[in-house]
Amino acid sequence: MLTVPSRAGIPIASVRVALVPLPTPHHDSLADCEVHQVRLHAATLPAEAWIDAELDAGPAASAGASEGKKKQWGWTLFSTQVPLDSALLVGAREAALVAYATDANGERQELQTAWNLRGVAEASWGVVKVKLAPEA
Amino acid sequence: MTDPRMSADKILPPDATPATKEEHLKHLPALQCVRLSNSLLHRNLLTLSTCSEFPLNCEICDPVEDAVVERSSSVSVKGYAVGSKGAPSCSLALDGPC
Repeated sequence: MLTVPSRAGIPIASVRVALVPLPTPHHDSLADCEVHQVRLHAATLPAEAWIDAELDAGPAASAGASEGKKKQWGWTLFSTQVPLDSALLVGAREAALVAYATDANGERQELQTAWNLRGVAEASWGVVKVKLAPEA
Repeated sequence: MTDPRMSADKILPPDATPATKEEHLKHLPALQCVRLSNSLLHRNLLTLSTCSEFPLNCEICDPVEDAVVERSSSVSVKGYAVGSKGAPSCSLALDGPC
């Protein structure tokens, strides 16, 4: 059967997730909001701070696999376990989990999309915040 | 929970000007921050991403997440990524009930 690749879809090769204690040090930026500061700080983390998430290959397709098996549709689900390093979180009451994706062409997700009212083409690094249980 | 099909026009006053639209959006409860872009419309199609993700334009609303996690443990994270037009994007959420 002839398969027609998507014109725009590019397989995701990896998703990396890191833990960032809050608050973060302030980084000079035009945007002063918390989530942007979190992203800026995450960008300074060393490579070992990032965890490679497990990608869900999906049925009969695999991101990063041989050309014939690369998925031609957009979505790639991922999951991972992020250890909460107690030493890293000393004194912190909150933390943020930050993620970015890289596609099969080596393009990395943009750190912060330029703000616009309707949020068109928003593709900033994903961030989710959690509260930490009180220290014992 | 935000209706993924909801558009900006449905939540804004019909006589809103561009300036009042922005002001209106600033005062929406965080969970009602409607994803206004096509890319975020996709994100809303997954239940996991509708309740614990930062809103689209972070300058509009505060982050939304009330989960409390134990220290010295680990958290399960899940999400999705898409490699559209050479601009990969991903969105994540805690794995569990919101």
